[in-house]
Amino acid sequence: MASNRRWTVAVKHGVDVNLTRADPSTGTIDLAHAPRKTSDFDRNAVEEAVRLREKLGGTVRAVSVGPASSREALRDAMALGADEAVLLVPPAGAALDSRGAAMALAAFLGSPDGGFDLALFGEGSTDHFSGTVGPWVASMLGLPSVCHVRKLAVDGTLLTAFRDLEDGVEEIETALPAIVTVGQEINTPRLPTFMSTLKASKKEVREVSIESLLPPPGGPALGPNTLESVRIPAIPRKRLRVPGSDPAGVAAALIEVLRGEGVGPA
Amino acid sequence: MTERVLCVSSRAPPSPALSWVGRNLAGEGGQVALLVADLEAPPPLSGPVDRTYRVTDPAFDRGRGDHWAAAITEAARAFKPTIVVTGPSKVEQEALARAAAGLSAPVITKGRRVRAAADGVHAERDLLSGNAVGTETASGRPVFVSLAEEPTVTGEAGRPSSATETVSLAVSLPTYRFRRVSMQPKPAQEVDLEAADRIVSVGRGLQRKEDLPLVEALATALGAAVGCTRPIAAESGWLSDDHWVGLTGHRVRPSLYVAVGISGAAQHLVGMRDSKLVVAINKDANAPIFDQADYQVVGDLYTIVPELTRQLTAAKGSR
Repeated sequence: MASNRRWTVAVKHGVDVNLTRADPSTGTIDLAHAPRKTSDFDRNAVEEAVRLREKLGGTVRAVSVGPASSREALRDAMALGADEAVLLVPPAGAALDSRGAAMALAAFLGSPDGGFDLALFGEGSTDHFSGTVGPWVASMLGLPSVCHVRKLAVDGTLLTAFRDLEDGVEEIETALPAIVTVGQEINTPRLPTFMSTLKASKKEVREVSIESLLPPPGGPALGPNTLESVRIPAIPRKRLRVPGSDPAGVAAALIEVLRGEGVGPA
Repeated sequence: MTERVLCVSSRAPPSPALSWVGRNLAGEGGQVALLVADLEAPPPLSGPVDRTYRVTDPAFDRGRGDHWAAAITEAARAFKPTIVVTGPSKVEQEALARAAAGLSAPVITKGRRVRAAADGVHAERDLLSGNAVGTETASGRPVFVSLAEEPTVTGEAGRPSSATETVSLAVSLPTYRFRRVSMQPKPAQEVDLEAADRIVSVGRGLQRKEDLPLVEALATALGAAVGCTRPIAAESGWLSDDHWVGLTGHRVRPSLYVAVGISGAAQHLVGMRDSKLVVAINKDANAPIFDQADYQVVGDLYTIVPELTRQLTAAKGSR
């Protein structure tokens, strides 16, 4: 029997941390022009949604917020197994922060078009990690949120989720529809195959304008949060090669160095 | 300018230092309110707080972010804060996001050195998975802020406080089904890396689990704790997560950090960046770890480490 369960995943096309470099002349990072990729934990969220579909049937829908370039994250999600993709497009030139993204997502997921049984989010994005978007959307929709989930199971409309807190792992039972945020411990995302990537590139990404979802002025009246002087904190290091031609010589030289620095033998 | 700061502490008893964060943000003539859910005893009324909001509903669950969000919403309605500030816990952060959503208020999470100015609230925070830092600014009021770390600094207890009053707060709690079934406490830590003064850390240069004693012996000779990278902990399980230095592991600040067979992935560097002195031992002269090291030893850990241990132990014995 065909299942009509709806698994929705939010994915962010965020700054690629590993490819981002500071401008050597200023030491600062220009986030607006940094290379981007799908945020790490969002891939875990996609994988978990796909596993739910494999077990319980239904449809996995990936949703992203951002300019046309965010289609990349949706293609990624479809290559990992999502069935369909929706991009919520901000007005041209509008800057978007976590709050703006959360408001757009809440408006879409709360619309007749956006219904779901379970919506999965990364517990934070690789670039900003505000951790606010999942619980914000849940709050707007009057739904339970379970954050930092490491394991979950769905039985009918019952969600059992294990969340990672500071002092332990807590088991939560709640009712669907609900929202969870997940970390990398929940699963290992499968690798997209050549075929799945090819198939994903042919699937449609449906665009919905945020202006059509949110009443004028089309978003938060307050400006988005801004980021300034983003930089890699530089710790000056001496970078001195320890001399010596054989292990004994090198070890002796290093011990001399450690003594000089006041961190010699215990 | 003066602020009206609502401090939210889910701890029992509530964090006194958090109220002082509020006092410092409020400025001269500002007002500080504290939201607590101390159902048994009234909280202490001295110090930096002008008003305490107390949730007394017996159904209130201090382990639930949505309950705290409901309480923050009510307290905000009564107090009309310009800034809401919470501690760093996961439940507090969830509560902050849920409560901010109701007011469409801007949020800054995990802020350090939070300050209020006419043009907005500013905070420093980690960005790019801890590889970078920056200043985040939220314009307008109210602004919701959570702190990166539990605050510890308190002001003078004898501050001549304005008449503190306690107000009972009725909250409307969510009605959907939600049950905290059980808690599996985390096992006691094998090692407290954050507190360690010296750390010898090992990475993928180590070929087999059976070779770990090589590194442990060096650590003993130096009086150091044993750390490791993600592959050694989370991926291979050779050492427990207690030993894991890195972005999602522990962030350490010893006086001596010896990186053995560690190439220096960005996620690891974040965890050891604050070390005072860094020594790296690696056979690859181009390993990125060398850029972050004070002293570089290019060589095979399998020959260097035992020799180093031998000489250190001998030096100790001859003293």
